[in-house]
Amino acid sequence: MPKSETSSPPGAIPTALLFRHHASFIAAFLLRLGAHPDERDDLVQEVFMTAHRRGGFVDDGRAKASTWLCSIAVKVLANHRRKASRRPQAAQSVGTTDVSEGQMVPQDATSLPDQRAEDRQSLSRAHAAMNALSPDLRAIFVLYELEGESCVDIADIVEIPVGTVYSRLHQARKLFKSAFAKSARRPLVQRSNP
Amino acid sequence: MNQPPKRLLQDTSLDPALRGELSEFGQHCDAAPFDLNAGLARFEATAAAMPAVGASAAAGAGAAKGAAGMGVVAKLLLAGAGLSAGAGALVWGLSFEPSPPTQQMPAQIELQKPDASQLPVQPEAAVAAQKGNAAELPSHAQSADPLAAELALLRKARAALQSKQPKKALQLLRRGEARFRGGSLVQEREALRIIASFRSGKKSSARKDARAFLKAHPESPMASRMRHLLR
Repeated sequence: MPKSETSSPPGAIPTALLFRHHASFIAAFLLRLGAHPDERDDLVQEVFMTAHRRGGFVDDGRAKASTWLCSIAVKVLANHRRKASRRPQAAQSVGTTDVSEGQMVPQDATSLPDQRAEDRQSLSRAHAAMNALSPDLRAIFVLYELEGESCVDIADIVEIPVGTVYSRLHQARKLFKSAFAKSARRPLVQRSNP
Repeated sequence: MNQPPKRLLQDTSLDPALRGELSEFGQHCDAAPFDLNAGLARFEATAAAMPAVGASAAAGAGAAKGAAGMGVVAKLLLAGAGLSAGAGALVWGLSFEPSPPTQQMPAQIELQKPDASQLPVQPEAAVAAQKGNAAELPSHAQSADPLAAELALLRKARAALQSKQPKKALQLLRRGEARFRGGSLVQEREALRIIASFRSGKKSSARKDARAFLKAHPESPMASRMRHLLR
């Protein structure tokens, strides 16, 4: 995985080409990680600008370009969340969960894409279960369960030992199943009229 | 020794509702509309506009200018041609100019940049672009589609800034504001306008505008340029 921040290694793939081939995937990946749809496009730009500053991707046989970009996306979103948490009210909807009177409410369930009335409830259940996970657990869960990455690759992406990936994945799956089961037994969203 | 668990989507022993709804969640994220062309144009404009500020950015800019111009031509043609199958080959020819030292960007990203004569471009367009003068591009290349035209105007403004003509850049950007109101590159145009204003001597008002820009777009890729002005 390329690490250089200051030079463009020989054979680097220009980021404009990476953008054309992988931006749509990264956009969807950011949503799965819990990025707010309104902020997704800016985050995609930041991911590829970071890739650009690193000099583009070098295929050294150790990682795929998409895996490398996932690694950047995870860091960009984490950084964005840190900044948002320091602002009074802005951008607080990034993949967070409100706990109100002990009940979990998915904050941005209504802003998921392509919401049709007939599937809103089931979408909310999966989304709510996702929101039960902390950002770190959610990243590992999404990478393994939805992106099909191996635990070894996930260890590279989130920069933790592979043994820690296994334990966090176990924890994330347990939490997800538990939250999903709870969400099936009671209404998730109690909102006033918009 | 840890063994990877069976993935939830493949584990038929689980509640089918869980597997179905997890799968549906992933698919809904995939289905969210994403404007790839607008995103790419914005990315290119940001990458190209970043080096426009600061005298120190001049180092190496001359060497990169021709390649950067080629990138603009490639983009214009990509947009105009509806991003045909040859787009990938052209994008490989894209290069970016160096950033100011604060950005620690590479001096030049270049990989197998195709010879201009091998590109499916109009010769006069290639020549004009290699001169770094987008104003000399033939009209068909400049107005192939609105996005390409908007990008071309930003390129011209950036070229004016690089040639130490901030007032010309401001004039171009004002024209762009009138022509592309609500366009895809509003943030980039506004950032360039602030930079041009700063370099034309209106430092106080430019700094005020830079603060307003940062307040409105704190996460913009151009935010670092605005912070640079405020130092």
